[in-house]
Amino acid sequence: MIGEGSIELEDAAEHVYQALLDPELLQRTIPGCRNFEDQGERRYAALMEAGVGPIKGAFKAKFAVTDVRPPEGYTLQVEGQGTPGSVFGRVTVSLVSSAPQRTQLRYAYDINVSGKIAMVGQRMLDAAAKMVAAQFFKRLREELAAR
Amino acid sequence: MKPARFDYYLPATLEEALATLSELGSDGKVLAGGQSLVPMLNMRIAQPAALIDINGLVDLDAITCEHGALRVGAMVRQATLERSGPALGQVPLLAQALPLVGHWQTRNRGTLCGSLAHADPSAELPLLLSVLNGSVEVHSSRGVRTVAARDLFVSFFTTSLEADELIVAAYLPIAPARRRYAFNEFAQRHGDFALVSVACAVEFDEQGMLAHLTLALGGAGEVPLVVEAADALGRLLDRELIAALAERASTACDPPSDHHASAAFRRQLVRTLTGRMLTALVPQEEAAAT
Amino acid sequence: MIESPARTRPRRWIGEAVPRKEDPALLTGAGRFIDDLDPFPHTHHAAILRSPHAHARILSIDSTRAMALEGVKAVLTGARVAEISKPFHAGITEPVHFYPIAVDKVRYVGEPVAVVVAKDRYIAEDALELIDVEYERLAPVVEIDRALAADSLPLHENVGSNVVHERSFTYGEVDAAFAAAEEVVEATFRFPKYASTPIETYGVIAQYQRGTNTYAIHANFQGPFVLHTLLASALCVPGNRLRILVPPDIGGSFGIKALLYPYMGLIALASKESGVPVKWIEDRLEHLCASSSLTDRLTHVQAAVLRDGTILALRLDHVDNVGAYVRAPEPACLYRMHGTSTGAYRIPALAIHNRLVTTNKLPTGLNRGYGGQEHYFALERTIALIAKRLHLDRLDVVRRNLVRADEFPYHAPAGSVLDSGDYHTAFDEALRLAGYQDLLATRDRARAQGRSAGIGLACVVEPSGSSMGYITIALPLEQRKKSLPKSGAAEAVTIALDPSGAITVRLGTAPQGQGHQTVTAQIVAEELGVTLESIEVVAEVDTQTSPWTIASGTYSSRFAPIAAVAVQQAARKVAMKLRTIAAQQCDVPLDDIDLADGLAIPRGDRSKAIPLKRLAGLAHWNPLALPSGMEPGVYETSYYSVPILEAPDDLDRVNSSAVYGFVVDICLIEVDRETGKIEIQRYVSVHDTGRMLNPLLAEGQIRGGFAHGLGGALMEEMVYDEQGALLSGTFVDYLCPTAAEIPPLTIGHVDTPSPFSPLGAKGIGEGNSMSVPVTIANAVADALGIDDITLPLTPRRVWEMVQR
Ligand SMILES: Cc1cc2nc3c(=O)[nH]c(=O)nc-3n(C[C@H](O)[C@H](O)[C@H](O)COP(=O)(O)OP(=O)(O)OC[C@H]3O[C@@H](n4cnc5c(N)ncnc54)[C@H](O)[C@@H]3O)c2cc1C
Repeated sequence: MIGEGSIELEDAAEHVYQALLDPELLQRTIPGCRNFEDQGERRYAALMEAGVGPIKGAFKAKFAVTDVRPPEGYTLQVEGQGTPGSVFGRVTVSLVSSAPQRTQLRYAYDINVSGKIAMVGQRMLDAAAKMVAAQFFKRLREELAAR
Repeated sequence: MKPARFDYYLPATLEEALATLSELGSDGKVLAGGQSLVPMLNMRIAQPAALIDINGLVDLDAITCEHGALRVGAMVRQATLERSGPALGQVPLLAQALPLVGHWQTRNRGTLCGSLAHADPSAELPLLLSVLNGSVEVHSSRGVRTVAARDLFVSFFTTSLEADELIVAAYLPIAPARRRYAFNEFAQRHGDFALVSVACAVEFDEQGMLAHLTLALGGAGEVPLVVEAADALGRLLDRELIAALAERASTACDPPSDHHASAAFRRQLVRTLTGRMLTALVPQEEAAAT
Repeated sequence: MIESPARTRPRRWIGEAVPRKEDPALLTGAGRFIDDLDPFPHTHHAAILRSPHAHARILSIDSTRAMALEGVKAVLTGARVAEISKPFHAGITEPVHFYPIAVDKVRYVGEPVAVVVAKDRYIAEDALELIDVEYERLAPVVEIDRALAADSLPLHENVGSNVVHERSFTYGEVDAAFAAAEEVVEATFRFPKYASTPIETYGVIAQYQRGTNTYAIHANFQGPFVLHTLLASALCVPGNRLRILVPPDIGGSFGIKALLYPYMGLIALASKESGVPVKWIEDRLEHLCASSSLTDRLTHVQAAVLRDGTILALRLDHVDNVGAYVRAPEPACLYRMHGTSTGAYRIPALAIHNRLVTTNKLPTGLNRGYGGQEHYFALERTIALIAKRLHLDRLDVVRRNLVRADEFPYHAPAGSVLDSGDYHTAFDEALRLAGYQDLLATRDRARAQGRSAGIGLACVVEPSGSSMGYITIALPLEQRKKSLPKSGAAEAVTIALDPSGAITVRLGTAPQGQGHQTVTAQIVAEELGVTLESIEVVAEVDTQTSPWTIASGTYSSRFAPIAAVAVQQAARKVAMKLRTIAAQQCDVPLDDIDLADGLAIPRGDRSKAIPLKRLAGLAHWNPLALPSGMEPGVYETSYYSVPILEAPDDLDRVNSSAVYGFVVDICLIEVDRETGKIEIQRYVSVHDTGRMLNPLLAEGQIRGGFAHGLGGALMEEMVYDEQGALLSGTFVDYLCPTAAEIPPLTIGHVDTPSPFSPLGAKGIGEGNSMSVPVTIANAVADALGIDDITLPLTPRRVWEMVQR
């Protein structure tokens, strides 16, 4: 699934960028994130629960922040495996400052799922990806606003 | 394809059901017709800790008329509704929409309220509720509230219901005398979830001008989408207006992509279906004149 | 021979529209399918953990948590399977090792990774969630083009390439024909991957019997029983220690249950490991990702033609995608149609280049039409393109090239011997039934109104009764010479009369709904002069007690040309014995005894007739009264093999099938340009089925094949994304036509009995699954004026074609 979106943030790009690299914040914004573990070198492991409506799946996930381009953005590599199947792909985040204290955060994701969820969930996957991405960035905005 | 272990509750009264729901919170799932829930359980993509089976609540299978609307209880099967002459007379759109919902076998079990609670963006019945501007009556041990269609559907498979709430009935407004309805969908096979569906309610005044128009789309976004059409009122539903409305519908929506249909193809289907549906609704005299 | 008026003729049953003997039980829910059986006490249940990845290395499997779950008996993984069994053999030279479970790598989504044996299926599925597998993802190879690329990661490292088989063949003067050609018509075709989806999925109940080192496996397996031999060798036991039992009823197969054998092996090993009998009933999710499918194929065709449409030669370049492994009987997908590559046409020269590739998709196998739909899609699209490029009437191009009635038996260049036919008459009959002139007028009227209508047609030779030798042409001559030649196609039948004269027939065909019991009863009733009701036909197969051959089973539409003949032969042996006894009893010459109405009648004199019951009683109770030298009892087995099925010759020619039917399809369709929906307005199919054994069953076969063909044409496809994830894993996404999607079908017949089959009958089960996809493709090409047609013609695809 590929998709994209953007959110407007009331903060300078540098601040946003710093915040985005903060593992604490990642942990709080990743939907259903538990047992977050910082493995160093911007690699993280966690248990993640994601779903749409009644459909839920738990994954053992690995995250890696790569392709860091301060303060313009980075790529978040995701790889997860769980009983419903596997998920892997990346989310590219880019920051554009639209005014001194305003930043537009654009994200583009390219996520693959495989195994049972891909087999049974076709009709919902596109929707699920959209929703998880939207949730993630919505929380991110809330987190940033709370800082 | 065997479900994971779950606890099973079969309440005998509504009060008991609501008490169980409030006790279990998000661990519990209501079981009505099971036509959406059971496949998810069997495939283990849903693993609720408990099921609260409402099939024992006999009071919930009544179809009545209240406050200018058809009140359909939570345990009224889609097939019962489909065979109820009075219901179809009062809400004629049901006669068009119900035969499109799955197959008669699934309609024998599936309920109207279950489909609304499930909030599948491609399902016919949420679209029906939206185009009719209906509502649901929601109970919990905390009280009773009415939720209008536009406030019910939040996102894909997500409603504004709280975990302890039960839809006890759906209200489908009774058709005014001059109101006409249409439901049109494009599915790859008979009984499939539609790639997209469109529905509308229209009324023409004495002069043949549009006096009412509700146009809504299914399968074209997160929730049934009601297309803004107030500017069409007072106008003749001619070819130009139809084309403009069809175009507006196709750009207003945000349909998903999958291997059956790209978003672009779904938009195209919305345009075509809307155009064809509205064209068929043009009063005969007008159609002859244009 | 002039018959004396005093003789009694038995009632004729062959060719009658007899309703199915099988139906009362099936329609009242009294069928006995694999899941209804409970043959062993203490049977446990298996669930299979399957790969979520298309291509990955297995780093570790930890089943500690699963084993700790109460009710779990054993967890079997690939490493153990490789220790206690051998890989399955297939008919190619490259060492593609195939075990029924992933050993060190997973190669397709759904591949078995571990088997849990537990008290019930619920617990077994719970335990699957407790097995921890660590994978390292590898670059997937999904499409044929990628598999052909030199740098694609080989699925099988020991083979070193994803091209696992390659052979070239030349028949006749191909280069000369291309030099003489006035035009060369050339095109590339892609055929999608789909399957047959029977209602009943796979099922196995296996018991390892330690005392005797014997495996007893109940399975809804359809044959060919050559796979028994293969399975025995994989399980490391001699054939007599592997007992396969097929239940009385099988809920459809269409080829797909031939590929049950890996699971039969896997569940048998699970029984051995766990020490308990194990039952596994495949669920639909498993079926759609990990049973079997036909091959997707890339074909490049060059046709050397004259301006008048005469085809001088064909060059065919095939790349077949067998998915992750080459599972026997593959590479039959490439070779079943080999001898018949020139189809219904008199094309003297032919060159074929065949390649087989492996990709990270579900492995393939038999499917109704096996190899035919892929082949005819390219061939019959080419015929349409020839007419278009040369500005000729399609009917003329077809008529000019069809094999003529006076040319039968026709020896096709690659070896098939087309036994009988009258293709031109059948073609004309199809045009007549379709009202071809009206179709043209309707199409042109629609076009004049701005709509898109098109006419499609296709001519298809339908082979039936596959030879056991054809697959060996996959091997080069030197290689082939190293082993014994393989020829023929045999079936075995036993008929017994008990002391009360009750008749029991035992088949080795493992029918799956075709109505074999009915036709068998018709043949036996006619030969023995008895009623249909008096005959019990046992369809259960038990390799320890039933008569069978390596070819036994139901596939390649082989019942009519082969098994039915074995039935007739066995019945004739019985008839001979009964008549011989009666002749002695009545003291008349053998020739004077007729069997009719349950009696042996001497010279038409019913007053002296002896009931068969008494003759049978005599054979059992009073052997001393039998004619001298005659054995007691009435128990006759007959083996029949088709004489014309010779082993491939040194020029690589092979007659791959016993007999050849013929199908002409014509349809009119209209495309809704705005929604991409195809409406089939008229569909006519004319068949040559040889001598028809039962018109009701024949019609059922045609309608069933039509539905399968329609699925392939319009909706069925196993869709994988670019990472090899399967997207069509349920019936919500893998769409099969239902009754509501099947348009009316007009059926016609121009039947020419086969001279090469004693009954004259030809198979009829697969013709339309071969013909329908290309017929509809031709119609859509005609409607849209587009040459490049890809199946299935879903609304989305058609709409996108219209946009271009
Ligand atoms: C083969 C097949 C084809 C189908 N095709 C279509 C189709 O074309 N179009 C279509 O719209 N649908 C289709 N369906 C789905 C069907 O319409 C379901 O019946 C319906 O979506 C759910 O109703 P139910 O009573 O079966 O609910 P259930 O499956 O019992 O429940 C569905 C969900 O709603 C919740 N729920 C149920 N009742 C209530 C309530 N009163 N209050 C609160 N929550 C509740 C449950 O907890 C669950 O989450 C198909 C189903 C099948 C099996």
